[in-house]
Amino acid sequence: MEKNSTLLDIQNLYIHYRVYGGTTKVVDGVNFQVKTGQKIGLVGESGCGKTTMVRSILQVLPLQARIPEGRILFDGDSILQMKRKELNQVRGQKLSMIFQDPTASLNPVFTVGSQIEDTIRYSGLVEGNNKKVIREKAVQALKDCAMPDPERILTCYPFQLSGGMRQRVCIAMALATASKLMIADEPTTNLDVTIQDQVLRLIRELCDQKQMSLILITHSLGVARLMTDWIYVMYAGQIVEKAVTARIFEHPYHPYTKGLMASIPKLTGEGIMKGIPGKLPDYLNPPKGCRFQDRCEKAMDKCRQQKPSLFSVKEDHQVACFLYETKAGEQEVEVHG
Amino acid sequence: MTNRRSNVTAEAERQARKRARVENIKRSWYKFSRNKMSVVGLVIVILIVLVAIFQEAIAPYPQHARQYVDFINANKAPCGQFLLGTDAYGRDILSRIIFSFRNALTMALGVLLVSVPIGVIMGLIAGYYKNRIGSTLIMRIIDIFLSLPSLVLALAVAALLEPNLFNSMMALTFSWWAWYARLIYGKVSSIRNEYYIQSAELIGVGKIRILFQEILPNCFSTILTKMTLDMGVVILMGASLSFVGLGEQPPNPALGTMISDGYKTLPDNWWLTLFPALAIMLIVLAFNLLGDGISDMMSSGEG
Amino acid sequence: MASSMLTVRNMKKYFPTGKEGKFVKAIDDISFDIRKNEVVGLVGESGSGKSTTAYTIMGMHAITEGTVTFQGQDISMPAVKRSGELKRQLQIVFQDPGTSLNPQRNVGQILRVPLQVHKMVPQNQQLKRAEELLALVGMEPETVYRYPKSLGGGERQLIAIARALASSPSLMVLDEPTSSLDVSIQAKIINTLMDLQKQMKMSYLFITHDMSLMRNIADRIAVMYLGRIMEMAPAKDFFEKPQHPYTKMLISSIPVTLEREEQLKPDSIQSRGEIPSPVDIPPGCRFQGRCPYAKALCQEEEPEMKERFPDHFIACHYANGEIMERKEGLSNGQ
Repeated sequence: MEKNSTLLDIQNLYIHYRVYGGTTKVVDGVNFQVKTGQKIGLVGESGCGKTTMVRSILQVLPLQARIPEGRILFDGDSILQMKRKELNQVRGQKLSMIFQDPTASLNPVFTVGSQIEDTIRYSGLVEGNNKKVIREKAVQALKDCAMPDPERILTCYPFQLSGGMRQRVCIAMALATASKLMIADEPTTNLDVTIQDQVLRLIRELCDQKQMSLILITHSLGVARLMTDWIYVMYAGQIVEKAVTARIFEHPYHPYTKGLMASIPKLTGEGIMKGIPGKLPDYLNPPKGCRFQDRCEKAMDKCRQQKPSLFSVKEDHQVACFLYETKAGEQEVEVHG
Repeated sequence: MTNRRSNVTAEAERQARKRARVENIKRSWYKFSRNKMSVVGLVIVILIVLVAIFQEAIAPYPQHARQYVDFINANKAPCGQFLLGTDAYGRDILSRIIFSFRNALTMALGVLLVSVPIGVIMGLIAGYYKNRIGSTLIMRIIDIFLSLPSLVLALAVAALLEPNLFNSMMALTFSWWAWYARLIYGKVSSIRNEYYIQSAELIGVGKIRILFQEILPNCFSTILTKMTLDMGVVILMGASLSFVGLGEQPPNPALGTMISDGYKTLPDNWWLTLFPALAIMLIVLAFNLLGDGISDMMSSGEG
Repeated sequence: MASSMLTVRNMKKYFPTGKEGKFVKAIDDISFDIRKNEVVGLVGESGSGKSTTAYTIMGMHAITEGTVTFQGQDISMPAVKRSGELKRQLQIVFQDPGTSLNPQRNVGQILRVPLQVHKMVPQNQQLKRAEELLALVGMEPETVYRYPKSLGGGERQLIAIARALASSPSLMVLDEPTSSLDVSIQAKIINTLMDLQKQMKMSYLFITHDMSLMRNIADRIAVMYLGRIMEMAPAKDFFEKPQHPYTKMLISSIPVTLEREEQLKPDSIQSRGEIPSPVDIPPGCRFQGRCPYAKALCQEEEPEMKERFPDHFIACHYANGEIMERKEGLSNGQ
């Protein structure tokens, strides 16, 4: 696969959950692309739908989830239409995911080695499930993750390892089989800040080495800045802004992105941050129009009537906000409000 | 000024609370009814209770539940006149089963309403004072009670006393509290270190208030679920006791007695044994299903 | 000393493990002060002992050695032995909003508990006082009828804060109160906390792992590692002239969003190694295993906290404002 071809293409995805009182519209018309070798950050706060969206790629959504509309194309194939066997192959050999809590991701009653080897075995990558080859692959995966003494680690149980090491084991598990795309859902949120630094650097190096694409989900803009080429900012089930990483920090456009950046405490000691007033909208009965309207200082009548969609304000920078719309509807000219 | 504001908001608040309560009931029902079998269980339990209350009106031959002999109609197989057949004394099996429900339910409620409070209080104390002598003592006593098979213990106690409904209830109560004590002990041990209990302690709340106002309300869901499931179990135990003649005495009908009267005649007069047994099974099943539903209803989360 | 509200001297808290003679040395000899109207930040990673410090001060753990003095009074005993007045003056807000409020009680009942226990107001005025407390933290008075499960994490924390305020404490211990909350909600809570601190003239012991947050709210900051304080200084000095290698490593690891923040980071020390377990602490300085400047002395002798600059204490043999030599083979930025 040549560089810069689209690996993952999510088109107009809607995900609803069936709950008491109706359905919650958790993901509301999302478009999301990952090219080969790219690292994409998906930034948003809790409840914005980022985890749900990403789980739909792997098709590990809970029972009450429904996908009424949208397409998910991975490596040219449609995930939503795959049969189980094909899906398992994709999940085994091309895609993988690391989760937030490494302790919960590892089975406490099995050794780390048996878990990594199981992953390799079920991926179908090794012909005839040759034990020796599987073993070697497991050791290699741990070595790639800068684990000291990999042979010994394979015989350890998860409780014998520290949080950072457990997460590295999870990364090794993902690495041993995935070749094209790694999805990391808040991989370092539960780790200490010095260990977080090490683990993030590791993920970045590995993705560069192996030419793997990365989707990094995080609520920390600081982490996203270190790790990614592009950032997608998600709010209440919608992508509100997307841009090349450096651009977003230079000049955020969407009021939510601005509010988010203003809320982060700064190392320079500039004083206590403002927050964003209000709460997430009710997903059962979301408001008509832009979902951020109730919390936006600059909300206009149009925002309450129509849902804004992403359009370019600059090269490599798109926003979904009527504040930046022109009469023609494209290319930034004037700013309203 | 303050008073008027309080009045206005007080009224609005009453309305809001009522609405919240209704909303809560609806949501609980949603969680309960997601599993159809729970609803089936609920319906059957309601029917059982109605039968127990209106037994005189529902039973086709109410007088058969008392002193009654009619040898002409004795040992008749199920037919138009006697839907479930008759026993050795010519008494209608269906009517006798119907009349046995009230006793069964009374026994279960009696046992639980006495043993649960005792067990819960013991469990609260043992769980809260986990590392003290008193707690260890209570737990070892509980261990003793739990290690003896409850049926055997109940038999022993019932045999010492005059056999009747009341005494068999006491016999079962004697060991039943221990299960609740252990259950609550476990729950309290886990809640005890939660931050809201620590907060209460740090603020200086007295121990009794902590036990009954902070910890106990969090145990209600566990207690209620277990009580529902226990209804079926106690009734089954009661039937076992009356099977050996230690429960309700003749001529008052009891499911266990009916089975014990009838099983010697198997397989000829099969209806004497089968129908009372099915009745027991139905009761236990209904309470189990209901208990499952209650457990779902109490759990948080809608998945 | 005169204006010191809380004084901790040589505090130790060891937890027994199953094995003979082996303890988890959660706190291993720390000393610090909290002055009146001051916000002291306590930062550290897992195993540092920061939460244990908070709990021991509150009396939730019995102190193993050392003294804690509050407003001149010795309070080294566990909470059960403390007077009601002391309990009133010292309050704590916990980290997890999910479990710090009793799910079976409504907000009004929760807020009334301290009012009743400390007899702050007579019975018939307690509801009104509860509503006032809610207003103090920026919530509607109608919230008294709601249950914790219908409230979001940020709102629950505000209730926990209101509950702590109910007894008009002089010192509040805040154990990572916003760590589990989104950053936009965190901002509101922090603002509320800081306004209240000034309004009610309280002191705070604020525990967190978020250094950027500390930079903006603390007057003085102490950093703990494996049960000891490595460095303690006024906020500005702490971030602009950090001395201890661990402090530098921590600050270097913070993911920041702005270029001007990036430039503020001290000569960057990249994190290496794992945090050792508090059971087996090696002799000498406990940071030597990960320290790029460690020398022979560091393996033999544990450094004492020394005031090397005004009000700036450091526990390191070599940190005295001069450039430190790195170990052979380690260049800057490694």
